[in-house]
Amino acid sequence: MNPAHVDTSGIERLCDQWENGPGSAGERTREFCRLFPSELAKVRRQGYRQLGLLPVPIGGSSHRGLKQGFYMTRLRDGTLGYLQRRTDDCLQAALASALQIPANLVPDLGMEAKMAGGMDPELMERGIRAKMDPFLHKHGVKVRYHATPPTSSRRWIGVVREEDVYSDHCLLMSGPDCLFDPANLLPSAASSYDVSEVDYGITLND
Amino acid sequence: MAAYGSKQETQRGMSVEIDGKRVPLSAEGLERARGENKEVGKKIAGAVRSAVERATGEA
Repeated sequence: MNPAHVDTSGIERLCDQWENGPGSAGERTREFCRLFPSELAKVRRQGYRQLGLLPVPIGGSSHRGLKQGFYMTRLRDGTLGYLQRRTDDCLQAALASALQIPANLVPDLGMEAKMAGGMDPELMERGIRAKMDPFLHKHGVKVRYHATPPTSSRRWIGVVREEDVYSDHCLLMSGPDCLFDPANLLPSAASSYDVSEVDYGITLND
Repeated sequence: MAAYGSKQETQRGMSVEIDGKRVPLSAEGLERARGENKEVGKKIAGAVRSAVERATGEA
């Protein structure tokens, strides 16, 4: 496939608007965060087969998954890795990948929109628990946090801390290796994370 | 999930690597990156384009 056939001009325009567009810097940044996912979805949709992406069937319909921007990719261990749709949904994608539950069935926490709307962080946290706890209970998932990365676990979620609040990132780990980074824009953009960068780990039913 | 009680422990991040450094695509991460690097928007667009080129080159 010729890269020229994949139109990335929407993303280029968006980046330009963010840097040089009208409005305050903060407003432009929020707008960038709001619009980036749909522009990324357009790029993925143009050549998903050639790009190694599979749409996640929703209600048995791959077309619906495609329309909603849910993609997965086959990982080297034969399981499926679910990619992030937005900039704020790494936990949803990492849980889906770790549990092998389609990403559309994992609660969408919608954090960026809540923060942009000025929601009180305490209220947001309570809302997240109210969504996540029933989901984990329904699937019989027991969550354990590990201050030291649990590199003897076959499958776990590694969390990389970032200096900004709410910017930490989840990776799917297998033993000491990063098996999948849900934030990859495309499967070819292989994660360059190393276990030494993981600050703590989460195991599920382990 | 117990650790959700602490607001710093809810994760969301997507990032793009620019000049060997990861820039989180969160509002806070982007604001900080812009303060440090005037052309960060242009570089994000370039990173997306490079990912497409790598993907299509491998296809």
